[in-house]
Amino acid sequence: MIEFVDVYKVYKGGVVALQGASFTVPSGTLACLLGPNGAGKTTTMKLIMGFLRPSSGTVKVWGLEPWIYEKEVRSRIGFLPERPIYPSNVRVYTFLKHLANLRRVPVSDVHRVSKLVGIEHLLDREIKTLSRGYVQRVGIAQALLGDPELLLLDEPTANLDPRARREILELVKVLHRDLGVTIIISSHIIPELQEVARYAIFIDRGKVLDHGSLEELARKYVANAIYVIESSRPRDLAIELLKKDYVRGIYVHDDRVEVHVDMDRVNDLEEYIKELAGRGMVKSYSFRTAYLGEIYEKIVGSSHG
Amino acid sequence: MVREVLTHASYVMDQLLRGFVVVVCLLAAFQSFATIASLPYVENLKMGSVITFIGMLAYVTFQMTSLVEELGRGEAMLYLAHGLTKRCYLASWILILCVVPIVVFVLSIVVPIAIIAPSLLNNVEIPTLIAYTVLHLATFSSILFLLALSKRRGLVVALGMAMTFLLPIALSLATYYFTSLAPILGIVCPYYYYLTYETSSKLRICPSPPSIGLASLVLTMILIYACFVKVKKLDV
Repeated sequence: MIEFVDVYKVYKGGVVALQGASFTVPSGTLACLLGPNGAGKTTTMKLIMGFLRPSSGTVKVWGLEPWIYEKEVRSRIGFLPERPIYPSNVRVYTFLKHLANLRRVPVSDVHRVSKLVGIEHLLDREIKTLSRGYVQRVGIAQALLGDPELLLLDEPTANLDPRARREILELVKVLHRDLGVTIIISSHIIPELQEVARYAIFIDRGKVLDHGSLEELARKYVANAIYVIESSRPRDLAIELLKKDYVRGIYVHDDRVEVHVDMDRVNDLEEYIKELAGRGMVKSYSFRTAYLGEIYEKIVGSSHG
Repeated sequence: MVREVLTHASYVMDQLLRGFVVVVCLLAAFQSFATIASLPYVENLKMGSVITFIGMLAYVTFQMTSLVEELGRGEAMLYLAHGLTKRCYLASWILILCVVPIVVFVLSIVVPIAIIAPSLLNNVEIPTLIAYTVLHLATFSSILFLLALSKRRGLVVALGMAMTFLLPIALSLATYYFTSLAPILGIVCPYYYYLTYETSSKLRICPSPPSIGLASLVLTMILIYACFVKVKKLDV
């Protein structure tokens, strides 16, 4: 869906934002673009949108170069820019209606997206009267106009309080689950990406350090895999699991048991879980993505080492 | 493309630049009275329209900063993300800050004359006067657009004000002391050059206003082309 091949972006004055960035993002995934401030995340987003032309290399979105086919590409993308200033004296409805007109989607779509993000009761308010959390919801609403196939969210939780941050992340999860839209979130806050992302692109000082699904990256960089098992008898289950030599750690949270296991023994654990399920000790289980922070540390560590 | 330009231009005028529309209309009303008061003497109309014209230039300069600010703070990106190309975006601002003032100014001269003394419209001096004002406004705003795309608010205001208030003085001084410089200045202010040429015999040795007007037209076209090239490369 998105393909960067050896992309360089050098701004006027010689500032190098991207250096030979190569990565792909498959369709249907919820990916994160992770890196510190100044890593090149926003530049990457702008290149995907066709706002910028790569200095060299190729950027393709659905096989089209966004810089050249800007209208075709942008009409299929919803974009939430990093900290945009919204027109303050304009009513939410007027603003969204104008964007719907530009996108050539019916005005009824304004009501649909407003309902989706929970701002339908604020449509008559001027944007300047809204809290930051609601302004960010307006931003997500505008990005959802016209049912985009790809949603780019550049630092969607920046400058939000913890509650608003949680609400926005929940909203992102719901959108991905209910609409099946491909989402790319850029952020430097690892814990919040841990909650939503299933695919990651690690970027630092303009270089893409690695990319892939969290499972693939975990297998590559992290020693332990994590399984989350739901059980009606979590303590008994934990005792059973502790008997296995490949289990590296067990944490019980209410009716869930988190099991850390050697990466090369995940098949053994899965078989054992099935056996325990047959004995009525397991309701359900899932392979949990590895800790992003751990993967990040390993990748950054290996690139600096 | 035309649809996008008109849609965005009407939104900007309705929502963001209401004050601009009001001031342009007030200037037009003032000009209409000035036109009526100066009739049937075309010479009076030529001089009388300078005041409104200067007001129009100053206000276009002031509003040009809205474009600079919109580009600087990332608001433009919100519109560009919805199918409005950078060139359409620029075209909509040109429509607002160049075409609308020109049309309003021209109408504020033509309409009162057409009502009170329609025969005067056959006088060649009226269309000439209109042609130079249109050309002057177009050159003026295309220079400011090019500066606005560099997102330098201070430069836009400084140069806009200098071209509005200092250029007529500089042209008068050049006419008397550095006559050969006057046509060069005239290229960026063809209306002022036309008025000065009409009233000062010193400029008789210089190129005529139509020649300067033609140079001004070429310059405007180059500047507008440069604006469209620049906006495409602009990092919004």
